[in-house]
Order: sequence, then structure tokens, then C-alpha cells
Amino acid sequence: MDYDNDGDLDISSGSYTGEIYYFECQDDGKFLQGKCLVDKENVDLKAQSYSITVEAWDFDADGDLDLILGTRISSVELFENIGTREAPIYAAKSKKLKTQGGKPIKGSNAHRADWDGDGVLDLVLGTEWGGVHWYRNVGSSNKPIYGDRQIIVEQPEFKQRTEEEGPEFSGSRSKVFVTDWDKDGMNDLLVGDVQWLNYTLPPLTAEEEAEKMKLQPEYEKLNKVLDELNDEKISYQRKKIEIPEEVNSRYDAAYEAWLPVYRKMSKFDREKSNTHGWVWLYR
Amino acid sequence: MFGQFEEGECDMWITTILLLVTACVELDTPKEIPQFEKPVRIESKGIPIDVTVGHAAPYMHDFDGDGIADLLVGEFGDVDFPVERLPKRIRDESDSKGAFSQGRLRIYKNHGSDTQPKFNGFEYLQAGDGFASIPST
Repeated sequence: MDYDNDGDLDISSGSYTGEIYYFECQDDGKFLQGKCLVDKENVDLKAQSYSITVEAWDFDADGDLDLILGTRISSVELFENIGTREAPIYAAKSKKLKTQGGKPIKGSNAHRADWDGDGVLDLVLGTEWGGVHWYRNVGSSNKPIYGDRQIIVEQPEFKQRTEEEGPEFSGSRSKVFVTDWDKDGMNDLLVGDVQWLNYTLPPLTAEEEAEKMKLQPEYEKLNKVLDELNDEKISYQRKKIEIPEEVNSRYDAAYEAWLPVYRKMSKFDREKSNTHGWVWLYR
Repeated sequence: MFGQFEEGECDMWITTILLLVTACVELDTPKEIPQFEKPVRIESKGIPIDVTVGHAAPYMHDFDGDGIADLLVGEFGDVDFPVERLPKRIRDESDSKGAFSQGRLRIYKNHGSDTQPKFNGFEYLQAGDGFASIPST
């Protein structure tokens, strides 16, 4: 996006925390480190949800760039630019996007593209559980009105797969980008994902087995202490009472004691998994 | 101008529970699901692009201005995010240190063409004195 209309490409990004980071391109083509976009009161813009993505386009055809946010499991949100194209100022609170029929529009990234080739820009979205959806724009590109949710790529059936087997399709938490990959005149999809593939390590040696057995009682004891303290913290949260500092301190100390032993015990686990993130081409 | 929007806030937990309950029935009946070839993974240097700690987020843009679209891919990352660049509201929380990773952006320059893209490795987007990054967890 050219955030400030100065003729160069700036970059914006969502974040887990729900704030929107902005990387400004300078005259020499280098980028400034990211900073949070703020509202007119200089308060960081914060989505109503978390784990967000962002695209910028002129949603309401008033000549400036608005921010459209995909969220992990909640509605797509929009921060309206109440400033100008050159000097954006964003409304302090986002609005949730809904369909013509009043249903919430949801997706982990909200990408604008003319999916059905009717010349009007639609909304194409990745999803938390995988697959790709779209909402047809039954209005116009300048005044979008979205129809009901439709499927482009179905949510994949969950299967626990191994490294040896490899993946079959795109996985969960999909992020989608519409492109004509091979310029054949038809829309293709790039779909990013996350997947976990399992693998099994060789059996423990006799020495490792003995070491594990020796460590087990201490690990169980530390686990029990940590569980109890966790329950104690939750009990305060359920009562909507602030957790006493003394309880937090005891929990932190228990966690510090538990962590190194947990790490040692984890080394004895034979069933492991790797986290992957691939980019899939659907055409 | 924004008549399609809902102003009210939703409680996250309620939303989550509702989602779990309705996930199987909420989808509108699709008019027609497009048919694709079996999907393939985009490769760089002959092997599938596989970003650090997953959560790949692809985007195509002519980043180097050579007239050919390049591939940009966001990733989760595995390096601690610097506390001083966290949002103000969580910067001073006692447990914020080490709680977030640096989600970065990979730039795969297209060494092929617009009709036959080809990628030979990537560089992370740089910003300021280091990598451009956002907090992920």
C-alpha cells in the first residue's frame, strides 16, 4: 500500500496482539522499522479481536484508504479513514462487516478480488480451519454489498499425517491471495497454511530410559504443584477478583522450577511433530 | 455510509462457543464449488517453500520493480520480539518479555517470468536496523 500517497510502496501488517504495524518506505527505498498505527488521540489502533491481517483499500469510495482486517475466529473489521488520502486518520473503533442479510463476515484474511469475473471486486477469505470462502459483491466496487458466504476450497478433513506421508492439501489458518498464476485468464489461488506432521524417534537407550525413570517422580511432583497453583489462579479469575501478587509469585517460582525439568523430560518423548507453513497453488 | 456494520462488541468467549456449536451448520449452501487441479506447493530452489513455525501468508507484488511479480510470504517466526516495539498497552506487562515471536516477511524474487514464476531463495524484508517484524504468538 502507498499509505501516504507519496508515490512509493509502504507496508502494513496485522499482528497477533490486534494492533496494525506500518513500515514506511523512505525516499531511498529503505523501510523504517514498524510502528503501530494510531487514532487521532494518538492511541494505538486495536482490533476488537486478535490475530489479525490487514489490507488497505478505499472501501467507501471517498478517495482515501480504509483498513480491512481479517481476524482469526471473529468478524472481519474495518477501520474507516476519517482523514485524507495523504494524511490518514483512523476512527478509534473498528466496525464489523456484515452481509446483505445481516450475517457476520468472517475470515482470517480479507482479500479483495474479482472472483467471479463480473468486473466487481468481491471478498475472498482464508479461514481458521482451512479452506477458502468468498462473498460475492452484489453492489459495486465503490459501494460493496456482500451476499452470503460461499465455498471456493472446502475445509480439509483433519488427518494426523507423518513427515513420511507428507501433506495432501492446504492445512488450517489459511491465508489466501487471488492471482492468475500462469496468465491463462483464469483466477488461481495461493493459499498459505500451517500444518503439523508427526515423526517418531528411535527408542530410548537403556541409559536414557533409566534417566527418565529417575527424573519422573520430580517431574510429577512439580507438575502437581504447578497444576494446583494454576487452579488457584483460575479460581480468582472466575470470581473476577484480581489474582494476589503473592499467588502470582508462587506460580512464577513453581513455573521456573518446572520448566527445566519439563524440557529434560520432553527429550525422552519419542513422538514428535514439526510445524510447517507451505504456499499452495490451486488452479 | 456503513449500514452493513454492527456497532456492538461481542464477548470473545461467547463468540467462540457459538462458533463451535454452529461451525457445522453455519455455512450457506454453496451454489457451485469450483474445481481445481490437485494443489501443488510453490517451490524455491526446487523444494517447497516452508516458512519458520508455519502460518504462511502469501502475496504477489513486483517488489523489485523489474516488471515481474514477486512472491512475498509472511511467517510466524521463532525469534523473540523486542519488548520496546510491542504495543504500548502490553509493553510494560511483566510477562511480555519473550512472550511474542518476530513474525517476518520473506521476499522471493521471481527469476522466471509472469507466466512461469521461478524462485531461488529469499531475503527477509529489512526495516530500520534489522528485520521488519510484528508480534506473533
